[in-house]
Amino acid sequence: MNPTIHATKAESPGAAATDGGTHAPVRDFDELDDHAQDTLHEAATGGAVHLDDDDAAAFTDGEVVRFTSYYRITVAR
Amino acid sequence: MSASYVIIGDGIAGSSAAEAIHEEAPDADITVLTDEGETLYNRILIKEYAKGKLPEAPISIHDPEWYDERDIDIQLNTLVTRINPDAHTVETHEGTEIEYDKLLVAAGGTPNDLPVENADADGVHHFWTFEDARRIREHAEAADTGVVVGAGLLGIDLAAICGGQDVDAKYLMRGNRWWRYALSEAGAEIIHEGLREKGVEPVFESGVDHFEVDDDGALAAAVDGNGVRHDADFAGVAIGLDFNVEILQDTDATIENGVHVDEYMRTEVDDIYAAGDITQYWDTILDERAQNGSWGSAKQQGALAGRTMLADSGHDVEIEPFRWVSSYSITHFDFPFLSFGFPTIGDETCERSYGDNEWRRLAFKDGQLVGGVLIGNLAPQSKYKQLIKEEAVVADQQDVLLQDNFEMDELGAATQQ
Repeated sequence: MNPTIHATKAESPGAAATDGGTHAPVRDFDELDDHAQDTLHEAATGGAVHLDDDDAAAFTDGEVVRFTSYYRITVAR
Repeated sequence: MSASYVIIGDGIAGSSAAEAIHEEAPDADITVLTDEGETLYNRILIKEYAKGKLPEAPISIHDPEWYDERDIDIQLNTLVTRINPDAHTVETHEGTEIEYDKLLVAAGGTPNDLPVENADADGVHHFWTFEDARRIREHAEAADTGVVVGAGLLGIDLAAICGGQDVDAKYLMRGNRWWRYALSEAGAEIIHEGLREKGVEPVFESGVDHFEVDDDGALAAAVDGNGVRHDADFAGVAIGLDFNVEILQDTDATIENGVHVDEYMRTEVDDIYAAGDITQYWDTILDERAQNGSWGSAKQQGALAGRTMLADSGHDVEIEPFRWVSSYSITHFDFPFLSFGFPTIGDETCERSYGDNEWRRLAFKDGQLVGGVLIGNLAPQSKYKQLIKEEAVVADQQDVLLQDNFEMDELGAATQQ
């Protein structure tokens, strides 16, 4: 089954970046490659995005990406 | 004995070069010199720190252990003052000489001062380093009123910081709109409205004539070019960079608002390379010199420079010429903004509005797409970048390019030069 990417708005960016004292990795949209930017844009505006393994590797489950808001990334396999 | 690789600058360009060298030659002797007091951090996220949206920790990319694990000698607070290409040495501010076999200059730039009275007053900020961001955050949290100067991609970060910190701010622009070189009034107005919604008021045809200070020398107001006084205990200035090329003045490198490098990041001086926004690189897509300060471009240039330094040292490393279409996003608003390629050059443009917060503009040169700006819908960016890379002649197919969504096979067959 192909991986699925979800991007969920994080209401509190400061809290999103700290997981009980452990800092979740945070990236900016500009750090993503072109295809990953397309994926995040689609996930942020249209819901779950199905990817192949190679494209899903551009994301880390649990990371936070700054786009038009802070988005917590979930990679479901 | 392995060659010694010295890298000036620990931004994303310098650090990527160090990483590339280490990956290909784990025993290489690598020294990184930086005038900053901390190791590589995420320069494109420091605006979020300054807004108060992120703590410090996620901004850091490399801790000192990262360098230790790779046996990279990182020297903080070390300013290189001179390069001696004949002796193959660099000299630091403390007079120390460091020898190199291959040298990379990735020293970036320094923000320009506004050439007006009291531009150095307490409360007037530039925004380039993490230290700048710390000062800005501390001051903006306490400030009530502010002004921002510089109607470009860095200035808008300062405006958004004011908005995020509830500073009642005026954005003083010399022209009639934000980033007038890349946006028409229709596109810019979307940005203006986004700024207003954050409590930042654009003031057009204004600029700053001088700053006023109080009895303690602290900023009190900005007086614009029309003589209008704007209360301000905070000011953010972003009117461009001076590139840190002074250290190359004693070399035969061509200095021209940056340093000339070829498509492999070699300067014209033997064994000296450059990467990042300091370079005037040979753009193999445009077939002319270009400069770019984006994160992705600096990262790619740094990695390529590292590999070229290895190849020129006799290592069996394949190198390919720099060929990159950069992009730069603005994520301060509910709608996304992305500029790509070189949206301010060219001889022809087209644009279209698609709704309240959706707009697109494309720039062409000699019939080829060379850049553009997308507001609201970023979906077509990859296709546009592909067309730029392919040097496709598509200026006569603007109706297709400006469709809300288009497929590449909708473009005419005769698109490639």
